[in-house]
Amino acid sequence: MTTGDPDAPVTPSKRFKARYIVLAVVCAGAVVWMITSLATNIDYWMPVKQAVAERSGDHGKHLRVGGLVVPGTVHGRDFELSDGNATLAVHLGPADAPQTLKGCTPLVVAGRWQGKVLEADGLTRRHGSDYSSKAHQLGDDTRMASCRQPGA
Amino acid sequence: MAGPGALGDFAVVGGAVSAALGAGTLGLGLARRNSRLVDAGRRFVAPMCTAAVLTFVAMEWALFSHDYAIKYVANNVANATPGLFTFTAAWGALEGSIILWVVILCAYVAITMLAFRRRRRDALVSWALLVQYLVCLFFFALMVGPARPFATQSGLIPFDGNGPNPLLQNHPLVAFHPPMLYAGYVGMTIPFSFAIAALITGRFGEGWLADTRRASLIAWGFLTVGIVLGAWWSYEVLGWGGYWGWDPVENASFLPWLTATAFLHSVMVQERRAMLRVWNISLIIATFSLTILGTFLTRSGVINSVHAFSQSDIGPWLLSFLGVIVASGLGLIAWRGDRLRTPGRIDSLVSRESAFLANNLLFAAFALVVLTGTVFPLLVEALNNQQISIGAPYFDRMSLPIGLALLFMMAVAPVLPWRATAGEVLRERLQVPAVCGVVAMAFVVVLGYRGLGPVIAVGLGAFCVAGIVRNFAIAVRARRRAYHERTVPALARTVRSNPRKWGGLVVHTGVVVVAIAIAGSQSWGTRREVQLKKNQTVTIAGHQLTYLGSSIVRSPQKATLKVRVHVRHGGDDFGVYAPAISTFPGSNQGIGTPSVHVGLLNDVYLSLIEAPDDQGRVTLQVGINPLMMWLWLGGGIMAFGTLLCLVPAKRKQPDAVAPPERELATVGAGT
Repeated sequence: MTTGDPDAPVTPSKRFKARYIVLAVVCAGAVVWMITSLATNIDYWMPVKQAVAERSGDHGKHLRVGGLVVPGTVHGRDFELSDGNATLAVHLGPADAPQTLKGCTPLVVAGRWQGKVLEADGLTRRHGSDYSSKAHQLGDDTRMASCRQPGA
Repeated sequence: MAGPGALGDFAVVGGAVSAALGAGTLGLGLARRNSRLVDAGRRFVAPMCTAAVLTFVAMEWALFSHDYAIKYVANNVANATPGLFTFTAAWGALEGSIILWVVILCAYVAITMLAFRRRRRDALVSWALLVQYLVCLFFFALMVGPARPFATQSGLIPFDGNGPNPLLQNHPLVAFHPPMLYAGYVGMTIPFSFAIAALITGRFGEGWLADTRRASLIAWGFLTVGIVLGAWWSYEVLGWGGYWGWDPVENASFLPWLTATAFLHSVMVQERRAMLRVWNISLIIATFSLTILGTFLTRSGVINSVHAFSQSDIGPWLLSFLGVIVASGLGLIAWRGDRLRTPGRIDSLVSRESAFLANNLLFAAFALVVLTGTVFPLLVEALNNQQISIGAPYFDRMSLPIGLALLFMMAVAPVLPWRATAGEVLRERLQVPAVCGVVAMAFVVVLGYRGLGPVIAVGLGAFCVAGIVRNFAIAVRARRRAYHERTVPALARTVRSNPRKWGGLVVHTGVVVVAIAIAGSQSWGTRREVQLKKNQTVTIAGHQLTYLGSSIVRSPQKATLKVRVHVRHGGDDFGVYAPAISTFPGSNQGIGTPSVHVGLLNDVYLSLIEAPDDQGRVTLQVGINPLMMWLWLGGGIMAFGTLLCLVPAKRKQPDAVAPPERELATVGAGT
């Protein structure tokens, strides 16, 4: 087996090959990074009922759950969210807590299950002109009886 | 009696027939090499364009005469709709938007034909016109089939219409943003058609690039302005406090912009070094394909967004058209594979062409990242019936390093000579700009601004602008010495001597301004939601906001609840601002209208979240958004730079004295 002469000059073809190898490694790294970033930033959109039903087989998915704050359940950074068909408990983790969080506020809660509590890392108030949350309709079935306007 | 509907239907069919006859005759003429048929084929451009204009006129006639027998009119205007929004309703929904598309496309075709009237028998021009005819035929066919704008009501004719989508009658920007964006999208048809013609005729040298340089620039300029106006509209109208949400439709406009920007740079390499032929043709095919993908996303109903009109039948048509474009483009490239190989090669990694190649790879990577994040949820939904979205952190995380790398390339590439660069030259040209960049970074840190990304963006931006200023100063100084001119005429004549180069560098300056504004506004802003009683004051980031009271203004068009908020900062009184929520007849959706104090460094952005409750408390979202004005100004600078690029270069006077050779070499460094 020959080991080659370490003092031999680097030929243009070797330099050419080395550049391509470096380029290939950089490209492969970039693709892996992109796929990893994509995989860790998938949001699964669903109403409360579906989120609760699929909780056991969830495996740490990042959810965006739409519903209304259940009146009388706001205690500090904890509250309950309902779509009229099911209810789930929410704890505000790193999410900003609006001063105005109160019963019947329509919200999209982003977060992951921690046991039976949804640990929220983002809250979006659902509003007529709310551009971002309009991208995914979570159904307008989220009106709980206790939040209905008279005559609505 | 003939009315706008009859005129419109006649014009649509007439346009489709003209496009079909034009394509057929021209195609036959080209296949048989019969110049009489080719000439005859060209003559259908005039009736086709007339038909497009008549279609638009008929639609406006129908809208202004409230001809509710036409479904489109009944669904998109009402008796109380103001004149401006009645006019803009012509492109406020699916069918009308196709009319606008066709009108702009026909205008491009007519202008191109006029521009090439002296080469009307040139095979390249004729094949390009054939492709343009086919694209026109497709869009006319959409109006004859699944997107018929003048379809009539089947039952009773209503006395009043539904009015436009509330979001489309809340701000005059609706008159500018869609047409600008369409002009950008549609304009890409021209370079695409010439690229296909170049492949067919085998003339894929540098000729077709020169032929389409202006069209590409114009389309790119419109696309840029359209995107910036879209961001502005989002900021001023939608009331969520931001201007870019990585919404799939926003991404759909950004994707062709990325590939078109790469194209505008890489054509320079082909023009100077006869390299990157396949790449350039692929880029323009990709750009046109992405405009059709954007149209598909916007109009097929596959996504819900403020831009998505409704569920419609044109999705399969657009998808099929996209498939045809991609397949024919790739097929032609494969057919011409061997002949597309270029004689030139990169001599050194530190050269202008290498920098352009790197910049192109970065743009392509950016486009891939955005395309993946945009299309992936659609694929998952189609395959698994699972609604997902890709969160903004994915786009932010991926775009930050690519954006910074592009800023770096933008600073370095213009100072590199073609072929190779000596280390000393590089050091001389980059030393001062690099020092400026470091000083700028230190300056913002001393001012108390934090965050690695935005601080680096400021540094790279300063690096880039300093390089441009240095380049310009050297060119002006050389000119002054050579021609003994005063400073001001020398400035003007320097630009006039090479407007393409200086226009491009003005565009770069605009990009720097936009990049710094984006970085600053994303990182250094404050946003809070507050609840205020009447006369209560809250302080946010040093700004005092006092809620003064509310009022309701009613008009036939809408009912608007306004709350008055007094804004002060230190000793400065910014005045009273009135964020509002409007409701429109026929819609139960409240449309927020933010109120913004625009400042040189910070905007104070007020958005009404909830009307006064039982106790008179209102809920406001307050944003202190830094550098927003610079985002819009940066867009304006980019548009100005694009216009400058379009100015023809002034030819040298024969009696002019040539500058000394050494100085010319320095001036030429940036060309």
